[in-house]
Amino acid sequence: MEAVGQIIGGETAAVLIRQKSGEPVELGDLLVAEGDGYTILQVKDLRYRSQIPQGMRELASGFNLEGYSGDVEFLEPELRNYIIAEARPILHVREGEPLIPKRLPRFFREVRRIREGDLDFLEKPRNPVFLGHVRSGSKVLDTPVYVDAVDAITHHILIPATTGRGKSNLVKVMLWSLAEMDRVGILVLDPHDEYYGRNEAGLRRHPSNNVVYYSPDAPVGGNTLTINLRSLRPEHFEGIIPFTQAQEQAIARYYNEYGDEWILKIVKGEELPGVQQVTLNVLRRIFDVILGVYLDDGKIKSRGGVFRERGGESTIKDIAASLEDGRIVVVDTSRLMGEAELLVGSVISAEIFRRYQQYKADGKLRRKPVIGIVIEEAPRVLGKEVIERQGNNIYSTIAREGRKFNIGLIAITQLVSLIPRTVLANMNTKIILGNEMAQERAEIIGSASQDLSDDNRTIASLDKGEAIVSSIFTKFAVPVKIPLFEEFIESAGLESEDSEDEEIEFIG
Amino acid sequence: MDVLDRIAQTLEGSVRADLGRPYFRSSRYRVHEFTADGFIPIQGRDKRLLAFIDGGNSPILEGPAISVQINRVALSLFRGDARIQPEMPSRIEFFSVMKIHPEDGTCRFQLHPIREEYREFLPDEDDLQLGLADAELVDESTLRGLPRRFAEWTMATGALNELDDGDILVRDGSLQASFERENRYIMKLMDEARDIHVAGLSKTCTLYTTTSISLLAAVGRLAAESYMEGGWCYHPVAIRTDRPTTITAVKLNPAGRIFRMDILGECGRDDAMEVASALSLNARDACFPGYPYGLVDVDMRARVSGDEVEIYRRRLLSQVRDREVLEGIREEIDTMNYHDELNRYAGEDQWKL
Repeated sequence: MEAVGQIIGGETAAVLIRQKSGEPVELGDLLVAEGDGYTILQVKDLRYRSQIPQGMRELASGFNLEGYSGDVEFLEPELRNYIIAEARPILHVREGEPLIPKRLPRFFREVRRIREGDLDFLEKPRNPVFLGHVRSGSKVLDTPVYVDAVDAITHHILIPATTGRGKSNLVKVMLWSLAEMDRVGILVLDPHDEYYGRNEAGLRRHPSNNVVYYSPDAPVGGNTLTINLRSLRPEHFEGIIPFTQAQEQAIARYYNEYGDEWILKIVKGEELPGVQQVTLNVLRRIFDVILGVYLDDGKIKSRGGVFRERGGESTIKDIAASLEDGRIVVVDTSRLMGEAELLVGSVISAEIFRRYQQYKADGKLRRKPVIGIVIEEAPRVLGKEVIERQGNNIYSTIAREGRKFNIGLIAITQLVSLIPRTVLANMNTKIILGNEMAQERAEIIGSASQDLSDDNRTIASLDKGEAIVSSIFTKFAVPVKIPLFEEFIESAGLESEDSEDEEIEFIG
Repeated sequence: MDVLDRIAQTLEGSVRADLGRPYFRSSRYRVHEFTADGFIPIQGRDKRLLAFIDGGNSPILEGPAISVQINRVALSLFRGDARIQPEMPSRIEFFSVMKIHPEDGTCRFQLHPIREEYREFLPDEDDLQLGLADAELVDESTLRGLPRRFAEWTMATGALNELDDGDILVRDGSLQASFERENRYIMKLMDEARDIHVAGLSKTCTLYTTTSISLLAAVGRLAAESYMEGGWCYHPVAIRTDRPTTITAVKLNPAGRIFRMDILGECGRDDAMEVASALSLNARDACFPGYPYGLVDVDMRARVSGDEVEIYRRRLLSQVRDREVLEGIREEIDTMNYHDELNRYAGEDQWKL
């Protein structure tokens, strides 16, 4: 065993380890103390210690700074100046079985770096979603990390991170795994048109036929995103568009009178008894602004081409059907304004939610794929203020009740603090990327599945592509290095090439 | 203020006095005149093996005529600034019991090594026996530390087996004897050392010149007047003739102080330079520039902390089963502790104020 340090003291949650000189220990490093099995510890803090009094250190610094360093130095610096690592025991493994540590490793026991074999208990689940490889500090082990898609998605996934820390890359990597299985249908609401890979590496290159793309400006092989106005119902706007009471009453009257043509009638300006003209005019402007639908020379026109009077009658149903077939549906909402984007997702989500409610009632739910919905900037629909002001929407309903119907959210956000604790508590898997904001880190830590109370500094120091997976389905908060998506799919391509070689050999 | 002015003038006169010449009360010393030619620049070429020796002692139990001490002597080996593990024990510990016997006019010591293997590095108990007349010539702390002083010499003799010709053994302090019988141990060390250099480096120096200024200050002034830069050795200051010892002054690092260094034997200029140069490679520590790191190391390792003393005291007293004997021991100890009582009262008074 090559020791990197020795246990010299501490307590249950903070074991003190003196670092061996020449064996640098990093924040997040996984270390192993052997004895009756072995204990895995993770470094939470590092600090300088010295046998030399402060005043003498300052004097020595002066020697160096002022040009005397040629004649003086610290003799035996490896003995007198050193680093103390503060580490938390996270697992004790006995006979291959991981356990929550209930006692400290032996005093003065040497510790070594973790090796691949130490994590053999991390098994590949039945429906594996690849996240990356185990990370020890900045070093990456050859140990893949998975979560089970069915379990994790139905219990909701939260991906918190600040800008530039690799959220989109992570989602792409996850979706690549999900595209390989038919037990999960994923709706991806893509406000930046970055997942399909119109002009760059993306899901378009997946070898399966399991990725469906909808866009207002669909490329070859994609589907045009067109939603017929008759597909919209008043409940689709709930919690998305803030209507006044008068407006809501007017909408209810139009829906009762004209059914699925209620929007067309409003846009055409057809008066209805009991609805004031001013209210009607406001609704027309709202639909003009949000849906891009307006009346021109007696004809209903569509700005942007998504919401139309003609065409797109089966779009919502087709998307829902694709999801029920266990496919990934990427919906490009980059050309839609914020509320329209949310509305598209609301319409689709409501449709799939309605179907799955019925399947549960009919006893058919077990045979259906689970559904995941990727929603970016989650506070727009899950935020405290939004829910308080506008009431519940389909997303908040799924967050609370979706588990019963095998529907879950994959929520992406920079501002976790805006999401209610009750909702956060329901999100049982958190893939934590780097976050510089102390308030956000506090919320993440407070709602994690494991005790991350001493991970504040670690989370702040996460680099791009580094993450911590905290889930009720993992034995511990797993530090992960997420691969670059482009490199990840290239490695997958190599396997395809190997297959081709096999075919060549077969032909020969 | 007039009084203070006169004192200040006296100090000024002392500082401004001429260098004079080194002053030694005893005729056993052959004194050399101060001269700029005495300075030898340190070159720091060869990395010789360096052995450092130092000891420490603390009282466990003390009465007017009896004292139990814990003693410790440490050895460190370095080649330049790199530590070398010795084959012999690098630290020995032993208890000593001093008892004054007025009925036969003697002061005797018992030595008890903590490990039997340490015994070979301890002095002969018979060599430690003193007549009361001799014992009363020295202060009590020196008397009680006699076993440790002698053990430093025996440990040094044992350390010679770790060294080769041209290597250097360094003792903390001068190479002077406080007791006549120490000279036997020093002579034995010198005889067995042969071509191994034996040196003693003193942290403090009380020598002065015929013009009443500090000897080391005088050498420092001469160095400045001679434009000496870097480390140097000033050789010789004086030579003791009855038991040959060469007294020099060294500045082992440009950033350090000047120290008195004794070298056992009548040491020539080249040998003195060799010793000083080798030591300079070990005197580069930023905390103690100019003072050998090895001496710092053995000083630290030879110390006996207050906690250790308390532990040994409790263990010693726990061996006494008879309550009457325990009471008697306490009475012995109490006769030496009233000063502490007064200090405690003084502390309380300060607190009350």
